[in-house]
Amino acid sequence: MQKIENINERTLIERFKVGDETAFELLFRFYYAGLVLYANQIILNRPDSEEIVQDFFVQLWEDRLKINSADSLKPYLFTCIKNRAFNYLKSEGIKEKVHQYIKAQVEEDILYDPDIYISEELQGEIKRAIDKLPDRCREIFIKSRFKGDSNDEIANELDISKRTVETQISKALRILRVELKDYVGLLFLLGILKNF
Amino acid sequence: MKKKNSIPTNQKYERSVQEHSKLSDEDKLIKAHLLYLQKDEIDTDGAYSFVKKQIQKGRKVFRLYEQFSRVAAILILPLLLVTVWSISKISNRPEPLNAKQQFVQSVQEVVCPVGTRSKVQLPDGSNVWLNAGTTLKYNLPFSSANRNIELHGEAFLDVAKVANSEFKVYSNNVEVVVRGTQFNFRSYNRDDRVEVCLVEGSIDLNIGGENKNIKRAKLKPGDHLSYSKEKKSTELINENLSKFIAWRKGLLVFDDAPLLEVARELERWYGVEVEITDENLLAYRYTTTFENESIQQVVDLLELSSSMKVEYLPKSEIDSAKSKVIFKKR
Repeated sequence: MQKIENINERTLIERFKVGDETAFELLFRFYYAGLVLYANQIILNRPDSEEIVQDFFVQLWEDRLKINSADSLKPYLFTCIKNRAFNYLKSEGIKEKVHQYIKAQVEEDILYDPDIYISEELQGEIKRAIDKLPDRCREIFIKSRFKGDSNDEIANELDISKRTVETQISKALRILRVELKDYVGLLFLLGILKNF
Repeated sequence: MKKKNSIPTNQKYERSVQEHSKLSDEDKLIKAHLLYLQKDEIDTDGAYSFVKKQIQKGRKVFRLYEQFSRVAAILILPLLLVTVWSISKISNRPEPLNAKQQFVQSVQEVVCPVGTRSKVQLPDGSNVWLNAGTTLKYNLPFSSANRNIELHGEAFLDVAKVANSEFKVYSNNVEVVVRGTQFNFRSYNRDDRVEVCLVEGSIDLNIGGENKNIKRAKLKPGDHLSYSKEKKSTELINENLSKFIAWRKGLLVFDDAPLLEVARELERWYGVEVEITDENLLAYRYTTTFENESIQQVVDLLELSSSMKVEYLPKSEIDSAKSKVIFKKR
């Protein structure tokens, strides 16, 4: 069962429902940043994402009696924010076709799995996998993927050939594929299950 | 919604979807990790205080509307009279003679039951983290002239600085006087020791209660003072305080702790009942740290690291209100 600050989330939800502000604050602090990043992945605007999530929590407090008891608020919160994000896109006058693209992406893509935004365990695994890369390989990979440098830029900076950069990056991806095998599979499975 | 700084276009979203579809699974996981790292950039504190303000605004509107329109004027007059009466009563109250007498007015009580920890914010903006099995009381109105708290249990206090105002915490004949500081105050009624340790700022202590034998002490950061209620003696050390305040981070730390102390701590932390079947076991001492472990895991570890048998009986199995932990001779 999910624990927040060492308290069962179910207990927190019960206390929140009867108006306990501390419980509300703990839930807010646990979910807020993840929800903002999730909304931002859909609407591509950070300040408005923050506003969407804040407005949502104000309403959540007012409607707290309507919340169903559950082990976790995670599915509920992410669904609500997703709906609000799509309403926002509509109000921004996004074409129906583009809207459908984004919708399909959010439904199917592992990058929109709530666990990406909440699960310490999954994130720990990814970090461990990156740490396992050989030094040189990791250095190049981090420049490429974390800092967003182009292969040319990296080749220049490290005084190596562009070809070497490319080989190192594909080597890194190969290692990560093996290291994160379980998670790629698991997340895909989650994605498939969600579509049923 | 506010006016946007940059107007998002269909193109912007189209491009993002396209770029996205090109990512390999591994790259998506890497991107996921990058996203997660961005969490630290987000100002959760600011957002929470904004949301809290919005909620309070909403509540005021609700109150005015609900109370005044529905419950109507019949209540208002008596209410007004009671208010005037209680205000006059408060202002006529003579100056309190000593710390203890200050705790007899109208009292706000916050209880943090065993098995949980929580945080409250006081009306002056001070933050208080409460450990399991703690009761905190303060009298109303909580103002700059009266920032007095009575505490039974353990709390970490981050006291807000208010000009010309002292903040006092009273418990088991120990009074702590501060202005703006961070400190930990541990004073469970069942324990012999009252412990105060100071992280930041400075503290004045009055130990021994109302009588003339009152002892005074001043703490500086890093000081840990422990007072024995039974022996009426104090002990002051200056050391690394992290083990005393680790509970705030959800860590249960035992540093050469006798079994009785471990038992009491487990009772509070997990809301269980602990039984020690053999007196000879009391001499045993534990040094260990638990983080987010379930009571079953803790019990298993305590057994592994000692020569005792430690048993855990969930309440569902023994048909009682509390689960039980039993320490036995092997």
